[in-house]
Amino acid sequence: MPDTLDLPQLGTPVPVSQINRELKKLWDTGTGPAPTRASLINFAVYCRSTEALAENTELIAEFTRNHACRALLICVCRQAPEPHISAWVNAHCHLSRAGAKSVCCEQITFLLEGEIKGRLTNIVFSHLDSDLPLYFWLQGDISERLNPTLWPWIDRLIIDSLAWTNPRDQFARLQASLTSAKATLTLRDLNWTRTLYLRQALSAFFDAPAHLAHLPALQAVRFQHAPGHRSTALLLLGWLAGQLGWTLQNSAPLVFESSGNRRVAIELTESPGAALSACTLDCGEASFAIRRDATERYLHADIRLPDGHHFQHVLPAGPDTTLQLLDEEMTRGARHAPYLRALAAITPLL
Amino acid sequence: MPQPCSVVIFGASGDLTYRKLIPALYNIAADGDLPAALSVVGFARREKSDESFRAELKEAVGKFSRSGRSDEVWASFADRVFYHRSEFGDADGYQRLAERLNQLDAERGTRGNRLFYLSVAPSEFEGILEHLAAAGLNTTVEGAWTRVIVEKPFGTDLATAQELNSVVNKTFREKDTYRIDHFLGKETAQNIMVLRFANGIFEPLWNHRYIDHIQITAAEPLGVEQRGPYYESSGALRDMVQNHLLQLLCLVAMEPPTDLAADSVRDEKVKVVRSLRPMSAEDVARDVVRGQYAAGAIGGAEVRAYRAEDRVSPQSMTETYVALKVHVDNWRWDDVPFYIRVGKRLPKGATEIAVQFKNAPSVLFNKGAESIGANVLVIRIQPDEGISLRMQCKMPGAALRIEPVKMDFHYGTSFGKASPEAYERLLLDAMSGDATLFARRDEVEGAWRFIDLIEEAWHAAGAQPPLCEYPAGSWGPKEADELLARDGRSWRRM
Repeated sequence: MPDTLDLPQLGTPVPVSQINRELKKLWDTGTGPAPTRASLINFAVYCRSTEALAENTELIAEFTRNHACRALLICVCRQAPEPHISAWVNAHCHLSRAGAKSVCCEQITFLLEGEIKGRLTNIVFSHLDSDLPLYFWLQGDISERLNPTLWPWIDRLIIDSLAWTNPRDQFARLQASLTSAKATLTLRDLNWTRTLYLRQALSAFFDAPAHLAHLPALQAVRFQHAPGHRSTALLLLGWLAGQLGWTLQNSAPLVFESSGNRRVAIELTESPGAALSACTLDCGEASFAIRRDATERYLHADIRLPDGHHFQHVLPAGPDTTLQLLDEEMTRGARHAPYLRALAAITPLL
Repeated sequence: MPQPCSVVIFGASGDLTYRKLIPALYNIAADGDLPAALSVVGFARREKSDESFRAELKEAVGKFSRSGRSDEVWASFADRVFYHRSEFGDADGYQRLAERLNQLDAERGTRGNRLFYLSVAPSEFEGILEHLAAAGLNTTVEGAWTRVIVEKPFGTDLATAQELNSVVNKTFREKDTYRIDHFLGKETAQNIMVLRFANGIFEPLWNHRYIDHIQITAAEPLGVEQRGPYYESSGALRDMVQNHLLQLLCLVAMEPPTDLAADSVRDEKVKVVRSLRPMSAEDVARDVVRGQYAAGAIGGAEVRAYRAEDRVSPQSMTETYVALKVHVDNWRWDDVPFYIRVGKRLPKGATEIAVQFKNAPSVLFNKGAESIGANVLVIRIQPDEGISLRMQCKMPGAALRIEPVKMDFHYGTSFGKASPEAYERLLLDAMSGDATLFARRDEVEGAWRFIDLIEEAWHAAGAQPPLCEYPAGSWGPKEADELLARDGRSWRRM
């Protein structure tokens, strides 16, 4: 273990060969009240810096409040001169909703330094809670050196494309890895989850048949996003394009062509505030707009119709923090087809 | 409580004695299940006194006993332990043993009951048994018994197993012969019959109508360690499948016995062995995958390839991994494959049986493209003995989302008393004359008959099936995954 790494929140340092024994000790309370060990998924978190270990441990501690799991926190530092492995075990215990019983989840943390072929997959394979799904949160860029034998084991791959340095290359690498490994996993992008409540609000605009009638007249879309959140805005745009069957006509100025051969002009502007602070669909005489102020927990929806009617209402704004995004992600279904459609529509713009 | 007796361990200076046999006897004593009149005599070549033998065993018990070591219990137990130095081939040594046992009978009230434990290489069996017979140690006084426990490997093929059986049965009657398979002494292995035949919900489902397939896995992260020469002559198939895994298969597949007598249970197991579908060379090529580990990583450290192990041939064709698809051709298991896999240098040490039930009809929740998983009943033989049942559950919320959940029972935390080690149970049974958990001659020979067909196909002249490589630390060669993928199945995640 590196001398400089002093992170008590990681729990008890253990030799790798003794992990199972030490985990058992966590549950051996002697004569005290026995905690309940709970696990519904294997939740592996892959990061690349020791600084991220403490941050992720805090996040896992909160995550386990609502999602019983066995957490594997794996930090890979390939640049270390000598191969070395360190491990810690820990339990996150929370009172159950009834308040009477302490429910605990295990966290096993690994720091893998240097380079040993096959080490990461072995670490994952050997510490899974059997028969439960594996959710693998790959933080940061997709590494070219990830072992392809890992992919078929993953049930849900969680990424956050917002953090990627070069989204177009990263998506291409990801697609290639998944295809070559014949992976059947479900891909979940936290950046896509950021757009969820906006997507729901936009859909809800057109639930009413009277409103839906204006959709074919859509001629302009305006998004306002925070600095650094262009990819979030593009995913929302990709969703509209994918769902409505648009094709990209021009990237500067940005123009799509609708399935009815109408031109749809897109405007993306950057402004401090919420990740996506405004979205307006201009359908000629009708307009549908959503606005969110940075500090607000609600979206403000605004509908203007040609007959002079003007409706306003508020909707929940959805998750902002990483923990909230993960919480949201855990409650979602497993399909990713709309996401892939959205991605296909905006790939040239990434 | 077993009758008073003398337990004679041949190969008393071997690893098994120190790690398993003496700690097991000590734990039986600590639990109060050993008769007061009991002697343990270690028989081995090395020069030792009773005192020095006891001192070594004291240390071993401290290290390997599941309950630790109590000075009080040890003092009482050690008093009954003796050492007898002799070459295995020295007739005089057996005469002196006979005299010593008679003396112990007289002094300690062991009444002429003797249990001989052959913890030696099979090549020593014949000599030891002949000398025992020559010294009259295979018989005893009126009303007493003599029994022999034989450790695996019991032969290397059908012919050698038959020869060994003949040798043993020349000296000891079959009913007094106890062929030990320590897997059968595990609490969960014994529990298989209880699970099946004492639970109203499982037995009606335990057949081809409801079970899709069964997987039996014995995985270990260790390599061959110091056992290179032995392993080179054995391989995973003979070392593990012929005995341990086929025994587990028998327990899972057998019909209910008429009663719990040893032969009633073993009769049913033999029927399973006889029902194993013999494999042709083509079957072996299609349904058996043999692999050997290459260099890789275990527990974060680099490990070498099998061919680079100590005293292993650099061109070795010995398999360290086997996966096979087996059919039990009887009414109950019609068209239900049993997938067996065993390997060294796999990610985890675990022996488990997984009963995978058929999917629910594809009408309501199975309707979409993503099929929901099947119910799986897992019997964990080791470590962390227990049982789990995976089922599908709706996640809380407005959306209909189905995820697997697991009901889990652990022997280790569910009862106040720790499970006895397999050797404790088996030694106790042998002393008590209960052979239920020991393999009978016809079981062993039947298993060899099945295994020999695979070995012959592997070693026949001409087109032999390939030896597939897998990186140490992985779950085996990709060909093993393809074996199940061809049937639309996959190995379960352990």
